[in-house]
Amino acid sequence: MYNKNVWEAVPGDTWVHQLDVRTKLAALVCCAVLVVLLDSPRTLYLLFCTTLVLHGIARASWARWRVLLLFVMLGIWGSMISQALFYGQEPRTVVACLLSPAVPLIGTLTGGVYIYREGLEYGAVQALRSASMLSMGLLISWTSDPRQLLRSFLAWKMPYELAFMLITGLRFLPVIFQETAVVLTAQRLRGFEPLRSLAPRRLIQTAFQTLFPILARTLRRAVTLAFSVESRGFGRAVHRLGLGRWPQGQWFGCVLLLLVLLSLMVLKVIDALQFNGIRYFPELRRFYDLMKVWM
Amino acid sequence: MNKIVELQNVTFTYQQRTRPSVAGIDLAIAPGDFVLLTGATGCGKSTLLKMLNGLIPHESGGTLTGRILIGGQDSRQRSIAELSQQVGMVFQSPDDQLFSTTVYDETAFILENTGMAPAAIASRVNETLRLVGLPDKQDASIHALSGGQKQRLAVASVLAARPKVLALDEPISQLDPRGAAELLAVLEELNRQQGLTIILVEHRLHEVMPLCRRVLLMQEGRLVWQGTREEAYEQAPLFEHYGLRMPQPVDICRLLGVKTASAQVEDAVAAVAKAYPVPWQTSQPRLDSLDDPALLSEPAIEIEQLSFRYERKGQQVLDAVDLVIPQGQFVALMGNNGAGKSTLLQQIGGLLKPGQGRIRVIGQPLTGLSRAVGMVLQNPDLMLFNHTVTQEISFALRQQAAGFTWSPQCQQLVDDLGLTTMLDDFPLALSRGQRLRVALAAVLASRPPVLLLDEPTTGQDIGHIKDIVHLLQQYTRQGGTVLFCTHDAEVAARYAGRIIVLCQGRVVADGRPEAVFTQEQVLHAAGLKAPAALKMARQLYGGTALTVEEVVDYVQQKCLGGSAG
Amino acid sequence: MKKYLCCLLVTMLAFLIGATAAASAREEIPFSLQLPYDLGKNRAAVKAGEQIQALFSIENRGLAAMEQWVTITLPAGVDPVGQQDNWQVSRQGEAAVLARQVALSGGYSQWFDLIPLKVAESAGPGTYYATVACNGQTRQVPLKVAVREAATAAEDVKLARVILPLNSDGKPDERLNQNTLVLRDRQLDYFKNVLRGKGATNLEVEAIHPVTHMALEIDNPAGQQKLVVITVRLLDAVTQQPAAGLFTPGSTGEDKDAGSLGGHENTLMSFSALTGETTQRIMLPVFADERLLSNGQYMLQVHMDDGLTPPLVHNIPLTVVKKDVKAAGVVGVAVVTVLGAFLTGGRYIRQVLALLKIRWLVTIALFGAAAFAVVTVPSTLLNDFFHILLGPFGFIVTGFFHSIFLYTLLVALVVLIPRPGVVALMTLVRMLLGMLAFGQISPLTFLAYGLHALLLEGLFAGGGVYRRLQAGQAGQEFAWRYILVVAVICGVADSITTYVNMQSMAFLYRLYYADWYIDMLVAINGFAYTAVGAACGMLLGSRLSRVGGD
Repeated sequence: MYNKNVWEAVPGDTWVHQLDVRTKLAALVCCAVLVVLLDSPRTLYLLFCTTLVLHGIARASWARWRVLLLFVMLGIWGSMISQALFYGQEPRTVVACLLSPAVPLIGTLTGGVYIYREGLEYGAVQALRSASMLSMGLLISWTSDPRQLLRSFLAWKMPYELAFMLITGLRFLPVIFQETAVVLTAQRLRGFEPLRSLAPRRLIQTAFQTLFPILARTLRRAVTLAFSVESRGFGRAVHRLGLGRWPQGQWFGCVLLLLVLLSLMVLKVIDALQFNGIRYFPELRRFYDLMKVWM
Repeated sequence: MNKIVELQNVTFTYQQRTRPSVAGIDLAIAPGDFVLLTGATGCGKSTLLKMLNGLIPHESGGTLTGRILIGGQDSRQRSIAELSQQVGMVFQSPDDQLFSTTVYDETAFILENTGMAPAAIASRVNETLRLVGLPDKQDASIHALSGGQKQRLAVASVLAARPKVLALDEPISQLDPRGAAELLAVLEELNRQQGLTIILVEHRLHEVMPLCRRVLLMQEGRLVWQGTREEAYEQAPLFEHYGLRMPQPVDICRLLGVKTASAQVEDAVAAVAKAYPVPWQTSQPRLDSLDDPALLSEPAIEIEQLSFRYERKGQQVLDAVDLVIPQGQFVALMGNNGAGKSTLLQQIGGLLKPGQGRIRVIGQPLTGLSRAVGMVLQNPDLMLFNHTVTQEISFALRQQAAGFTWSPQCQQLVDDLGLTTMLDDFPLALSRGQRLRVALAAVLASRPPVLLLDEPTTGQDIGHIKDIVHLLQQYTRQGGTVLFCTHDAEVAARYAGRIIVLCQGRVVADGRPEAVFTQEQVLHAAGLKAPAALKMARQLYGGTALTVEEVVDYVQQKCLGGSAG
Repeated sequence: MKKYLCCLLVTMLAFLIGATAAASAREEIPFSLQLPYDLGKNRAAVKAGEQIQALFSIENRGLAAMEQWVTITLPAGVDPVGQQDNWQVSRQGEAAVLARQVALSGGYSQWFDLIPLKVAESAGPGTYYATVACNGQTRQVPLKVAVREAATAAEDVKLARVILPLNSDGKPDERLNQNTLVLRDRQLDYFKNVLRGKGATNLEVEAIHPVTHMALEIDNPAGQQKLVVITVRLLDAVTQQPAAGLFTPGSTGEDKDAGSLGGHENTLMSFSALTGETTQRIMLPVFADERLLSNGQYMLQVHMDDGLTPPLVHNIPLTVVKKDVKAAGVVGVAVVTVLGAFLTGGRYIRQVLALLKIRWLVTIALFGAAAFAVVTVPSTLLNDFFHILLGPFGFIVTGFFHSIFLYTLLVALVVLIPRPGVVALMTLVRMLLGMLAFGQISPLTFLAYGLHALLLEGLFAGGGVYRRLQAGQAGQEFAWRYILVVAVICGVADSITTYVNMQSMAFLYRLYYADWYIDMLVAINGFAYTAVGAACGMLLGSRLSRVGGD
């Protein structure tokens, strides 16, 4: 996870890499809307799988798969377990009793700990939503040149300095991750186990010991990078080139994606109308069945 | 004289400092010149360089007096963006100054900032990349480049705007020998063929001096000497006085009283041979054995058939490495970047688990981090995390024994490393050399039997290197074992008792320095160069002397019958 | 001979058929008397003076309708109590006799009755027999009477405690206020249900879903078993007059008498059994009609009546939260403020950015990235983990990351670059990185980040922090008093942000938390942790400001 190469955007010749950054950002936004729009676990699962397929097409390294899976699995696990244990809505079905209320002290204190089936399902659906977004986010940050992102943000009227800051953050995020790992290693080498205990004093000590070197390095890097970009004419007075033409095919694809999204929204409304008994179109019977399963 | 850069009585003081960092500088540089600006760490040479493209005073603040004329125009009257069209600036760290992820984008950045049309940018980028020897790397990731390639890209990223001056701030200090050679070759080419004016700040004189035409020497903000390269060779004692390392052939000639206008080994050999009838060495020293008394002692590190790769199907980083390092030995681990040096150190340090094979430290199998091993990482900054130097040095001891504060050994360490006056200072606010010394002291304080150092000489001037080596030698004399990675052949040859050369994860040479450095094919394959002194000794009298002193002693003994001289 | 033999055989056959028919006629009218009829645990014996029940049951399994006369003769010392509407009670000597005609229709029918009885105080230990006669059969049913223990003799049933709100498993949520009834706001149910795909708002369907659950804790030292009627009603806290709002879902079906909503208006009624446990908890679903209830303080009165002894009454104060105006107000103000600041900031952002050196911009961006690496990423990973481990108190650990570490970084940055806009820019970078790298996009995120940046900027500027830091020397050691001021400023800003965050969770997601929980969160996470983080940040910033370039 702290391997720098895992987090760095690396240019490639895959179809995903070749996509215009605007196309990818549009896909991210569509994905964000879609995960809210969809309720069907199987469709959400398919959406999530699609994002994984995109990672596959982008030929993500094994290390990247590991990081992606770590975040996704932790997220899914956390979400499902926490929802399974704390699911508060009705109805809910107990599928397992982890701790009987009859157990002295803990059982009495907790009132029993159960796993609820609906909680697991709800957690899984929520987790698929966040996992899809996470996967898309990582796909973009791993396959897009930060400067292409910079150009896209500029084309979309983000202040130049702000876009530059964002891209700088994105560019050096992997380096900071790696340095954090090195600092933690350095502490271990000197006989200090940083995460051995969660005692407040020790956590604060660890925080200080970790932040000191990372931030000092950050300050030195900031000086070099600022000097470097300023020395290359980075300024606010000069008019920069806008983004190149959005490839027509991709632009068309994005418009198509948007239209599909809008259509799905309309379909969702039509389905909701019948579901709520407001307006039912008999001729759409089969479609309603499909919606029930897939939306 | 036609001047591309002119400084008239320039003095500059940083904000919140009382003393000027650059004082009373008068300087003129002609177009097409290749100037080396040198001096000890902190002498103000980098500050002077930043004045050339307006970073000082536009960005840094502070007080600037005098005039700086770039292409005849006052730098105060022009913005950094405008000045960047005239003066391209390259910095020390290849990783920190690159901003994009592809070679093309990095090169195009400066052109986009000038508002150039995309079609023109593409052809200019192509042309520029060809100039720096990266014509086929347009679409490559900058992360896939070697250190030398990154620095060449940094040069391309400013060269694309076709500046008249290229200013470089210690560009080779963090490169391996191959990377440094690549970059210097490009600079020489640009200067010679394109007529580009180059101003290079560097204290590794032995590597860059042969390229430059003029040398400027700074000390405490002032220009204390300037002249041609040849004049500089004659002023070698002055440079040595300021802690700068001259090329070894120049030093040998100077100590033998031979005049030379070149730092090339062949020229120096010819000059010495002309002045001295040096006899060929008849008795060849033993080159193949390590008969150091230390070998007789118990092994400190034993490595058997160690293999390792970071990813299951990835490249083999270490390949069946077998090594035994006895206690008390001072070992240099050499090889180009990617040879597996750092990985081997991390294996011994217990930071990585062997894929195959076994490691034993002081007779014990290594299963993880061990108190028997101390390690100084490549970037010592990331090892400093305490509020004061005192806390930093006593940190490991405090982890071992609660309530520990300070010991006479700690005091001895800080005295030896010249840190006595800065015990209450914030370690990360110290200079680079001081930071390395604090990190070293912090590791040595707990007296581990084995000490690993990952490129401790990178970016350090010779003065710092000497301090560190002196301390490490003391440590080995007391039974400690040192294994350090370095690219600096002169340092390794002079100080190490044994050199291990790694190439593509395999040990390709292992032995005494004179034995290793005489294996030219191995060195070539591993991207290393023998010290110039050894080359001179080989050519002059068929010897295996590793240091300037040894060559000089031999010549004087054989030709003058004594070592006085 | 054959003739006689045949006659004999026919006679025997007729007898057999007749006997079988008579037996089957009796089998078609099975009846039973269970004495005592246990409502909870089965007991071997009852005690003198105890109130018990007998259950008589009779069925008609034949095809024809019939009437049967039933007589139950109780042993001396066991008498029916209360009014016996279903039986004619007479006495034969000391024994009470209950009799009645039971009409049973054909096909299949059943009639049963629970008969409250009382064992006389004077009844001695031993086995007593009741006799039940029906359909020509007479059965004796034994009843064992044990000695009554003196200690429990005087202890009656007590309604010890009323607890709400609880979930359907009877578990309290520690974050929620006790004695508080949070009514679901059904005004937006239509949209909510549409969004959740739950179907149209059907007031009846919604209404029969309990708002919450309550528990009655009953002390029953004598182990009595009896049926009780529990009636729960709301009283005005001041006038003690009954207030409308609670109801018992009707059982008449959806199509008449207002369906489920047409039950017992204004009371929540339930039949329940005391099972003889010495302490018993009776769980009741609480149904409330939010159209009839308004916010405020009430008394919740619980009535428990067995029809024989004086009813038990227990009152507890109850707060009804119908629509959280406070949450809506707080969130509304926050949204308007953040939106206003965003629009104003958007107009001036270019000017602010132009005043900042590129070196500062890079530093801010890198600090934002560092904050993302050491705050956002660990929080994202650990939040779920500690939520599982520590439940609602997981914030005590995760607070280290998003309070202490974050403010350490943030204040250190302010010390390094004491310029207005620095906090806002770093927050913006952190938020955008989260959106881009992890797809973290939600209204709460915008509100929380926006308010956080706005309050800190405002308080730093208003509190003269920027001014004072600009006037100071780089690397200076700060006086403790000054560190305290900055810590308090940060603590106040984060406390407000935390509070608004909790209110927005209540308002947007209907997640209500107990006041004490909110107070604790604000005090620990919002103030204490943040203040510690800010103080650490001052220290860190002062050290880092001595770090120069190489």
